[in-house]
Amino acid sequence: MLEAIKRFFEQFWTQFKPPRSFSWQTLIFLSLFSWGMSLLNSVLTDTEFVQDFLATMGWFFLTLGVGWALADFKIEFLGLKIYPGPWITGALTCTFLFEGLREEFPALPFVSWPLISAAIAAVPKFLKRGPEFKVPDAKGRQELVILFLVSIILSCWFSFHFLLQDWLGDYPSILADRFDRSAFVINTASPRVSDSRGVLILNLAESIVIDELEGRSLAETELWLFNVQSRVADIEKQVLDRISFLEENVLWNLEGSVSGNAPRYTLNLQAIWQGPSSQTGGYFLQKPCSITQQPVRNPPAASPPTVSQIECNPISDLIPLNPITASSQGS
Amino acid sequence: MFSVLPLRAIAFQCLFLLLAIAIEAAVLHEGLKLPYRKSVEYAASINLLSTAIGWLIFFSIEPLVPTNLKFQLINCIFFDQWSSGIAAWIIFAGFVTFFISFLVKLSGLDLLKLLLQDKEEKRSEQEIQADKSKRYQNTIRARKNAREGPSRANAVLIANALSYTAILLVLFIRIIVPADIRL
Repeated sequence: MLEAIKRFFEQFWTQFKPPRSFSWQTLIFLSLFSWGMSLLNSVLTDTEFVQDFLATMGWFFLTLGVGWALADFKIEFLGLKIYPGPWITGALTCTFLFEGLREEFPALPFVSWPLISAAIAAVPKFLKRGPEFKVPDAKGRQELVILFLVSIILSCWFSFHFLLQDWLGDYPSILADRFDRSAFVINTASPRVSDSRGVLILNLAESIVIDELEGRSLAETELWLFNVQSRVADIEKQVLDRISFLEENVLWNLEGSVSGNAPRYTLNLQAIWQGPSSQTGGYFLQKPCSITQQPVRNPPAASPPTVSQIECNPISDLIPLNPITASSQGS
Repeated sequence: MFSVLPLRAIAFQCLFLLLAIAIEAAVLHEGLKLPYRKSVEYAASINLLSTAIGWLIFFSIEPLVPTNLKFQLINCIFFDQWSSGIAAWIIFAGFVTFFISFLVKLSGLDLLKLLLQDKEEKRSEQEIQADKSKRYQNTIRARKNAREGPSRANAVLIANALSYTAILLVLFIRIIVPADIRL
């Protein structure tokens, strides 16, 4: 058994032994060693500083080692020579530099990645054998100009992506709509009605309406329905207070309309979205609730013979507010 | 969180950059008598520069945009819905963009020439100039300025106008093409 383990390690060593003492394999080994020690430290003792320091050293050696290993590695693609080394090194550098800031600034590692990678790629052009500093020749300078401009544009694309995510955070109901016509974005997930916060608003409104009407007498119900405008406005206020405060809240309106005759009424709740939408003028979601009278079993004296019962249908799809333009758009 | 990606914007930007670089390289090659390789490099540099500066201007203006205009901007970006209010702004912004990009490209070209000038070249130029009499040199310089200055600005202006025309043409084709077979 011991013999086998020994043979395995010998095999391993001959396979992965660094060719020189100062080489990229040494750096990778150093990083593994640092991580191993960090892990050991976390198991044995509980000094967070030493553990973090060792882990940081691990990242540092790994970044240097990978950068060195990939220095001459290139891919030829359509006559272009692509060196992925600086990009991978840059990605490692960004991960390890901005690890602590990920929660606060999620965009930072992505936005700085192209810039840091370009800087890493530029370093060899400023070095000559020795190593000494040199100013690159005209051809090298032209390459550097294009490299840096391209990396600025790449990081602008990342910023744009995160700007869009910010907007979607402020206006999440946009996600329920279709981005087919957009010239800027695609949605890899298919839109769902449930992404619209109108669904949340209508469900909350439903529960409030049930709270207020269920078990009431016909007369009380009819009084409520008679004042439906102000009642629903009141419900809208309650609902908007209850859901999390987002910038899009001002774009939502709750409206209600009543149809039918005694004793069966239908209360139609509508959540109207007046924000950005693929339909000019916006859309609405609706939830029709039927209000019926149920006889009360064993009614005590002086109580009404029937009470209201409310049954709500599922929420509709997105319905354009402006049917004329919607049909002419052919969507 | 990452289901909405600005891939169409990136694709369009790549297409427009390639178009503009190809067209402007041809114009610079003709107008400034540059070798092919140099004209492509110059055209690429100035177009990338103006694109980068355009993005930076966008990102610096975006937080200042009032909420009402922001809704319209979101409408344009996510749903391609252009109200008549914003259309006027877009046309105005197009004009401004054209002239800013012209200035950026022109000064970018000057900067690039300065940056790529070889030291040896500069020195030999200086030596040659030292040999010549001052008056002669001045007339040469004046003539050179008169010849090169306007022609360079002209070439950049024509290049910019042609590339913008091509981009507008592509945008126009996009409007004509029915929505369901678009990119």
